[in-house]
Amino acid sequence: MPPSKAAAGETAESTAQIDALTSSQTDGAAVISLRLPGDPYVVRAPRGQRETIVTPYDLAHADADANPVVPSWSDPQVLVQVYRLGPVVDQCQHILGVMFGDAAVVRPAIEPGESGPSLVLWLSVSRTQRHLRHDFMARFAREIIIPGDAPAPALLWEYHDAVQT
Amino acid sequence: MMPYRPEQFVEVAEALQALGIPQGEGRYRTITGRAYYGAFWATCEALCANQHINPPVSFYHEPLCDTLAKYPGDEHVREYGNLLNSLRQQRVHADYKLRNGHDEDTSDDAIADARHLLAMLPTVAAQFPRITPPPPRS
Repeated sequence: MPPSKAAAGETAESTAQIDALTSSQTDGAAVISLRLPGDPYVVRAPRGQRETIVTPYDLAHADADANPVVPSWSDPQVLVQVYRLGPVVDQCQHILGVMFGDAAVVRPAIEPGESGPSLVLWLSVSRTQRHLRHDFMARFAREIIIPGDAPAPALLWEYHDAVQT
Repeated sequence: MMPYRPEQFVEVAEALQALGIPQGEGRYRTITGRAYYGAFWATCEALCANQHINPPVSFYHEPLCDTLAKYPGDEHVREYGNLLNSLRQQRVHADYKLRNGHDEDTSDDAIADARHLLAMLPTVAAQFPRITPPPPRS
C-alpha cells in the first residue's frame, strides 16, 4: 500500500490535480489527465523512457526549465497526420509508381534531427532504375509543395534487389 | 551486421595520412560526408553572395535545407532543397548511424547527388530566397 499524503508530507492543496485514465501495474506506464485549460495529458512512459505531454497548444516557443520543448515522435504516421502530410506521401507514392512501376513503394520513417525527430521517406526501387532518381526529384518538386509549418521530409533511396556484400 | 566501430574512423584518417585509400565501409562513409559538405558549402557561398555577406558564413544545416525544399516561389529551388536535404540526411547516417550499414551504392549516389547540385547551382542560386544566417559567435 502506498504511503498516505499526510505521511509523505503532502497536502491536498499542494498536490497536482491529476486523474490516471489508464495505468500499468507492471511498468508504471500511465495516461494522466492534467486539470489545466486545454485538456493536456501526460503519457507516463515505462521506467527509463521519455515522458510525453499531449496538448493542443503550440509548444514551438515553449520551454521547460529553460530547455526547449521538442516533439518526441516515434511513429511516422503520427507525424504525417499532425502536419497533414498524408497527401504528400500519397502523391509521392503516385509519382514513384508512375516512374518506377508497381514494385516501387514509399516507406515513412522517423530519424533523429537537429531540432527533434524528422521525417524520412524511404523510396524503395529496383537498383537498375537508380538513374531515374534525379528525374523523380525534379517531378516531386514540380508537383508537391510541402506545407509551410511541416518539416520537409528527406527522400532516401533503397534498392530492394541490391546484392548485399 | 556488425556495428561500425569508432576506431575505424581513426583507421580511415590514418590511411589518408599515409596517402593510402581507406577500404570498405569507412571509405563509403567518408565519401558521403565529403560529398555533402562540398554541396552544403557551395550553397552557403551562393546564399552569401546573393545577400552580400562577405566573408561567407555557414548556415544551420537543417533549417537551410528545409527552407529551400519548401520554397513555394520556384520548383527548381525546391528540387535543389530536397536533394540537398536528402544528401544531408545520408551524411547524418554516415557519421552517426554506426549500427546501420553504409554501402557503396549509397556513397556512389551521394557523389552523383553532389555533382548534380553543383551543376544546378549557377542557375538556381539567383532564385534562392533570403535566409538569415546564424548570429556570429562572440
